[in-house]
Amino acid sequence: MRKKLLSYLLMAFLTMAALGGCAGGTGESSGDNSSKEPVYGGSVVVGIQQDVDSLDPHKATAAGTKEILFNIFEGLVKADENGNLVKAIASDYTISEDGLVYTFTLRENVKFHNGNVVTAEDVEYSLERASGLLDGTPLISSLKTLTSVDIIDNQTVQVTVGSANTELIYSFTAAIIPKGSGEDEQADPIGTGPFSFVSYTPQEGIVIAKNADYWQEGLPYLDEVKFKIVNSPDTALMDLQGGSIDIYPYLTDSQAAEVKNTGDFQVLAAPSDVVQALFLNNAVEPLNNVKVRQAICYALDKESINTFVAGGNATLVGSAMLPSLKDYYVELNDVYGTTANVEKAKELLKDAGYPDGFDLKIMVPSNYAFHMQTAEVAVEQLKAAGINATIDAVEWNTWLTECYQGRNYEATICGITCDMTPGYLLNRFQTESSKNFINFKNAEYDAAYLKAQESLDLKEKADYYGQLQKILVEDAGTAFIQVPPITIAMKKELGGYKFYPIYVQDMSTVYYTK
Amino acid sequence: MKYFIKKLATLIMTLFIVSVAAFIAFQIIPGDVVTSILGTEATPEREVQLRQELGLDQPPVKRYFSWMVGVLQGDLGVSYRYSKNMNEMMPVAELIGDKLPVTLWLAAISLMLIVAVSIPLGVFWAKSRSKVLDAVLGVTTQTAMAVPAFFLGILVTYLFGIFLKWFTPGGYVSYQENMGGFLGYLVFPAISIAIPKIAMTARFLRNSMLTEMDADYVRTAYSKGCSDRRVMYGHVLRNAMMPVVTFLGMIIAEIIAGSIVVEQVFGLPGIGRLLISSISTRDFPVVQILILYITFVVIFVYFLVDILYRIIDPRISSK
Repeated sequence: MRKKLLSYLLMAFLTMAALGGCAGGTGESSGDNSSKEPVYGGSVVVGIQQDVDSLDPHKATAAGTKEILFNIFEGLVKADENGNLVKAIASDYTISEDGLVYTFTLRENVKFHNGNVVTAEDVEYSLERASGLLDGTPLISSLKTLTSVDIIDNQTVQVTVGSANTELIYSFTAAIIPKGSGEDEQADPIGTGPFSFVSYTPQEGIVIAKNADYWQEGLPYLDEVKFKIVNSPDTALMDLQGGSIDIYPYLTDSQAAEVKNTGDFQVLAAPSDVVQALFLNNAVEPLNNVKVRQAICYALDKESINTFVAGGNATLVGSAMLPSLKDYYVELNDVYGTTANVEKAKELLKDAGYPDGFDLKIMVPSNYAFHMQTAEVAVEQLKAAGINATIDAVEWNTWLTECYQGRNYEATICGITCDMTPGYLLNRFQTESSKNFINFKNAEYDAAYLKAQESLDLKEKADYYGQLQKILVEDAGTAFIQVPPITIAMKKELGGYKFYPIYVQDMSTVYYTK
Repeated sequence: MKYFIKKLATLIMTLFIVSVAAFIAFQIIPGDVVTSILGTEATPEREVQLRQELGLDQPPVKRYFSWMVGVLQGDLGVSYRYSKNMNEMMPVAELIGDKLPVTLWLAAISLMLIVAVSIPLGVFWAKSRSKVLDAVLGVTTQTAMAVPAFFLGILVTYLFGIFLKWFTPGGYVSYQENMGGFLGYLVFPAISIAIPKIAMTARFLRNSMLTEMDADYVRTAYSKGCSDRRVMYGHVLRNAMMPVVTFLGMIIAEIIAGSIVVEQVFGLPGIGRLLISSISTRDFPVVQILILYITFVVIFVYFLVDILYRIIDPRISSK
């Protein structure tokens, strides 16, 4: 009894601390170092949240792994901080008018970490391995469409694809590795990136060191970067304050406020590449009724969700597109409004034959504190509209199996990412897509998506993408909420950290200031 | 001799039952190592391919027995998730062997702290006649026992790490790099483990001693002219230690089996943390061996306690 009482007291204390944090958090950057003079050298420790799944760049799938491998590997092209593609190992490329032939000219004298110069053969090998042309199993599924990779001369490689797709070029960010090294990459990863691999210890982390031969003049600044797996998000904060980590990229809103108070860190924030939503399984009762889904959209108060869980730093969205992809984004927040419309929700429920509401179980992956907190707020908002929502917190693997693959759920809160290609956010809602875990079924959508796929004109493509977003929202496929912010803490004396519209930790531009 | 054979048979039976139970549990919980590795990027082809690579396409019963046969031959299998070099998976024995010293050292330091503090404290408390002291110690130990391990770890980190700056939170040094730094860091997690156990053991010893003090032999000892000291340490403590040894045995088993929460708070890459992460990544070969290890430790420590009993109290073995 006594034990219980004490834990209640502790809980109350912690809640108070957390709420206090919310009120103070604005998440703006404090102490910008960009004006100070960068110096070369030094070493930093970056806290990461999870162990890597594979050091083989073609096999790694976890976002938490890719964000690190970005420093070791490069493709023919790579992403920059604005979400554009820049040339990396390729110094130039052309795409044939029909979109079927890609010709890449290799940059001269790009060296692998083992000292060898990147040749056309290495490129051929890497693309064939990733696309499955080598042994029949595509390791990167978007490259499946490749039909042949041909060496034209020492510096030129030609890639032929089965069907035209203007977004395929993004897939050429796939890592280029030395010819024949596929089997060894896992143990001894060799790439061309700004840092080379030094060591990996399971459960402890990865160490990478400066690539002195890096083709981009002047980069990187740091001699060594350690990615250290932090024990838990709760203790990450103490690791920061204690000095065992220098950069921590996943602050929660309340942590951000606390870190700022210490004055030893810069707190920087930017939008992430994740669209968070209350995903609804369109195939189960009563969510197969469009009115019920619309009622849920009306019942959510996105503004207060943003305030509660993101300290007001999230970007509210109405559909499955990142506002940062400006050419494709359509502003659809007005359709259901950003604040709750309980009257309207109740009216729709009544029309749909549920005047007394219904029970709704929301399955949430409990390892994502942000999604859990969002669910806690959303549940109360749904209750106000008469929907008796409850949270079913599950472990990540259970979520993957039951919800994402098994589609055996009613509703879930999670995020989908864009992986740089806008189409990636939209293709999953096609009826037949294997990633259509919400069972969205709309013939009009499927038709428009096909047209968008076929279109080689970017303007036209953007129009189709706009239509897709509208259909998705009007049919209330799912209740889109927000793009959560990424908030990082970085030691005062560091500078040059760049936010990307994709999930990477680019350490090449980070430096110590004098 | 018969006693030992009986114990050994129990040990083998228990290990077998536990391994079957763990195997079945892994068949029931949703998801497997393939879903864990491929995540949201899973495609049916990759899943099939990976299942084949890992041998997961075999029927469960067959997998269990081939694993069992391997273990009996001393081959603990390879991890599904961690690899070593040249595309060779990390042997479980090596993976656990790397992490085991962390947990064992942590257990050793914690145990030293527990014994060194709790026994004098318990004796002192039992001897004291002061009501005030009694109340103070009662409340203190009660509190120490009630604080959740996680919170205690955070308190210790705040006090010694951030406030006093005696150590760097999260600044774990590997024992392969620097043994001194390693042990220095371990002291603080050991304190977090020890505090509630010290409280429990001290209370236990005190109660046990108070009961013994009322026993007839104590009066006899005094009446034949034994000193206070001689009565206390020669008679009362020896008898009072009996239940305490059992209790310490339980504590030892608990600590060696992996202080999951404390390892988590202090970022120690020990057995407990490996267990948690292997369960969440469904790395079955690792989990299975860890569970067997924990079972073995618990049974083995109880066995040692049994032997210790016979040494403290020779009457038991003659029974």
